[in-house]
Amino acid sequence: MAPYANLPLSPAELSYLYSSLAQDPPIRPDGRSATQFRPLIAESNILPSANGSARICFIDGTEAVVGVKAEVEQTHENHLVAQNDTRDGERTGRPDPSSAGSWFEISIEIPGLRDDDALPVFLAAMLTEALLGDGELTLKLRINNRFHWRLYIDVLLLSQPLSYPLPLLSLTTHLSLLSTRLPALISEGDEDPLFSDDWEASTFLYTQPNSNAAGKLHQSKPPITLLVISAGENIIFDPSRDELAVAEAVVAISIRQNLLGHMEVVALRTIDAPSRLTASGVPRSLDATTGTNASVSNADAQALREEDEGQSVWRPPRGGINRAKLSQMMATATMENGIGQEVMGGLAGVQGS
Amino acid sequence: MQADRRRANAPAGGTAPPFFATIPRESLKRPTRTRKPDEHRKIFLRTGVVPSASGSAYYEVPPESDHTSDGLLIPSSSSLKITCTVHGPRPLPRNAQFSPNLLLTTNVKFAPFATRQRRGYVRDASERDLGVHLETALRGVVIADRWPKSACDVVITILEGEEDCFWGSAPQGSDASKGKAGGWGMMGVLAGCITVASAAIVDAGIDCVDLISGGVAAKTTSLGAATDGGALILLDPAPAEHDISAACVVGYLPSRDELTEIWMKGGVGGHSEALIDGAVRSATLASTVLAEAVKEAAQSRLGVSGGDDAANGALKGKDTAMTG
Amino acid sequence: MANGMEATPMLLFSPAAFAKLTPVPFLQAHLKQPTPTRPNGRSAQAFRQPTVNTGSLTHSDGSAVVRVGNTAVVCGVRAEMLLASDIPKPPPTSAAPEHCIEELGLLVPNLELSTGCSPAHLPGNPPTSLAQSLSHRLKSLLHSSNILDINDLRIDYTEPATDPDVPDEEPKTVTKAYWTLYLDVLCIALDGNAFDAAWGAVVAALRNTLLPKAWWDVDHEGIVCSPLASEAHKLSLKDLPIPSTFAVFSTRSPLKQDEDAETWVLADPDGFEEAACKEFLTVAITQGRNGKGSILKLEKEGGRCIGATEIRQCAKLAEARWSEWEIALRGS
Repeated sequence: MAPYANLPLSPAELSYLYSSLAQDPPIRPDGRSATQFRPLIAESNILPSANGSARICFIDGTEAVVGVKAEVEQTHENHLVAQNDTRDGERTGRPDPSSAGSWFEISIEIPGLRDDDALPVFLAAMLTEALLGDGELTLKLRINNRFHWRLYIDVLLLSQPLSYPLPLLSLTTHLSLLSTRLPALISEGDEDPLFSDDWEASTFLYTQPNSNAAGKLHQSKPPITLLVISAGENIIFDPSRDELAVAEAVVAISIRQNLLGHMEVVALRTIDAPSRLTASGVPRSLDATTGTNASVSNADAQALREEDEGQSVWRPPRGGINRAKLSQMMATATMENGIGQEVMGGLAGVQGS
Repeated sequence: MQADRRRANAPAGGTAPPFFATIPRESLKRPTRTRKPDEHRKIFLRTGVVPSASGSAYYEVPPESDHTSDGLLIPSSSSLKITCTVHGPRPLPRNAQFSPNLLLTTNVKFAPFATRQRRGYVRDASERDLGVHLETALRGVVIADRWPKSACDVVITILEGEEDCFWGSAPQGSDASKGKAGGWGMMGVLAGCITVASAAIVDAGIDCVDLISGGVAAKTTSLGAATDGGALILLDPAPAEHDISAACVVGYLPSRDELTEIWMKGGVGGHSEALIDGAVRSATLASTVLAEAVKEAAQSRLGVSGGDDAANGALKGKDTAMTG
Repeated sequence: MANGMEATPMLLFSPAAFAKLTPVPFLQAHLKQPTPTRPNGRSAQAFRQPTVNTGSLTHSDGSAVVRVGNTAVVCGVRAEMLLASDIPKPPPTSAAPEHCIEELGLLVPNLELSTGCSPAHLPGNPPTSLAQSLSHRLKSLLHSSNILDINDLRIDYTEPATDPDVPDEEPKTVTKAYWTLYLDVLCIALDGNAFDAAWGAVVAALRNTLLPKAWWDVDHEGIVCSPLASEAHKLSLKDLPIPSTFAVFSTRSPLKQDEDAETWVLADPDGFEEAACKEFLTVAITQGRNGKGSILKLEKEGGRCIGATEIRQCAKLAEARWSEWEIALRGS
């Protein structure tokens, strides 16, 4: 099912790749540092008929387009009652969680995969979780007590899914949400909403930084999801396909910038490491062709393999990730001027075409 | 939707769940947590319940409070009941591609009567997503390179699932009144799935690096018990009892102190590490029950048949010792 | 082959290996003993004892867990509302009430085997033909036995007299809606004879079912139910139909004279026996209030080894089996 299965790497190649990634500092095949992102080409506002859109092309040739469309939808009547039931002070506070999930819809299309395959389902679940976060997007979508915006986020992967496509899709979604504009509201209060037809007057869903003259208050930004792997003692960001093949653990971290300008984790989940599907090597002591040990029993062979513990030949990693390393991953991702801010900063600079 | 011709279908007119008259507020009692914040509900776990499978286990977490006492037809709380069977390791079909490792597939399905709203027979997106999570958790534990060219199916049926929130706090017809909002119940279900699958895999005699168990912790903004900046970390939350703002599930390997599965979502704020630690503590509590159940099963098996099986058991013990 | 024990020790298998390699001779060897004993230790006519637990599922209106040996089945009854106005082709008012339930499709039984209950029915595939045929047999027995009363499922509304000038006019009663019962049967563990166990679970769950009190609400223009358990009512089940399944094991083959063949009838076959047999017989017995059993249904498939005498014996056994189930269901 997974597009990254069937890696064309031999146990010897895997072993070489792993030991270079596990060195201090790690040596990556493309010469990047552990926290360096791959270069990418990005543009936003490419679809004139959508409220917001973006296209990102990674250096390995994978490419994605995201379009965001917004529609006005009546808030469920019952939902309104529920809000009135709560104390008045809370009405503008946290939105009712029952509605949050249905106010936007993410659909992912990947060439060659049906839309109920595991990969699109799982990617959509990840992106939705990140966007839901602590419900801030839902607040932004609220028009008044009776109406809200409904967002349709359509994600289209244009290329074959060569490497794990989550970061690409998440960055493109981030960029398209940044460029999303909603028509300005003219009507007041709880009446039926009426909007200005002047596109110039429309407001950004996520306010642009330059529109805030004071510049003191940071603006929140939509979340991005980063992929992190661990190899030996190292943690490595934005792994390529080959690097994923030797990862001991793969973690997807969704981070966003909060109103104070700090990065924070909004969602986290482990991803099945493709390295567990790789073939293990045969230790020299067991190699029948060298003739030294051609006639060991099965149990002995297994014991010998266990003794080797993947030291002399490649063995798919076992077990998981320890908590210290996980904390380190989260800390690195959310660090001040770290990789998270760097990526977001880079994307903020993208101009519409 | 097209009718499924392989199953009996609803009458042509279509049916709707019953609409209940409004219940007076005073008779509506939200279940309350009577256990301590760091206490787990009672877990019932037994292995070997399905003799025709290579391995099987049944897991149940009864609710703390009895739901029948309030005289209402609508249950106020739900329990968690999961069965798991493991089929394999068995040879791959002849036309399958070569695989150097054991191919583990997971299948998680809710029974139609598992939740407040009747479910369909075809797996939906959330059930598939649970399957992916479970697969991630188990792949790291099973020593897959000992069974080349083999497959193994882990099948989980959820007879009764945890709910996402308290149904009574929302009016009828909304998602919340069907116990479906926020997706917190799914996280409790996943923790149960990990524990029960672990027991079934051990029952099937598949070599593992450790005895994995699942645990869940949640952050609530409940009043009163304010610790750690207003947020309270609760172990093993029952969503009907709390207003959850963030939660985390882990698949934890106690003797290696490692995690093969983490799923965290919601408004975590700065509490991500506290949440993970909480979930690990919850998993540790589950693992004592798990270890007890596995030990009991092993002892009864050795006691009954002895001989051949005892030798196998000893061999298995050696394997885990070598790799653990 | 059954007497092949004088062979060299190299060919001496453990019973488990023997059963796996050559199931038919293994079964035959057991049955050929002076007192025929099946591999599972039962005699040919012995059934497995059923155990019934009801009401254990929170979100069902009625539920039951039934175990027969190593076969375990869970059934949950879920009642939903079918509005009379939504029925595309209402049955004519003259239709016999006993056909109404079938006509309207108010009973929706589904038996699911893809729960991991046996390696032969792994999930990820559409329902196997076995699952489909079992669901269908449940449905047809539910309908042919008339176990439910349509009056339990009907929600009537008496319209207030519209014309005050005609005081003698009888108030008109219309049926506004019907309860539809979804009977979801999940096989948790399968070791043969799923049908008897599934039927037991269905009946036990129906006996356990509580339907809320429901009425037509004029203001709301819909059916409203009472949430109070004290106002809910049970279903009134007519007499108790119980099916008993038998497997026929025969050594008959095209290579042998028919006279040489031996035939055994095995009551309540387990999974191993089911795989070794080709001929099956199901006798559904119902017992009215007069205590006299009558045959409600006879289903026989495959093979031509047994005749009227054997079927008569099976019917006798099925009658005895009826009381076993009756006690198990009553005790639950």
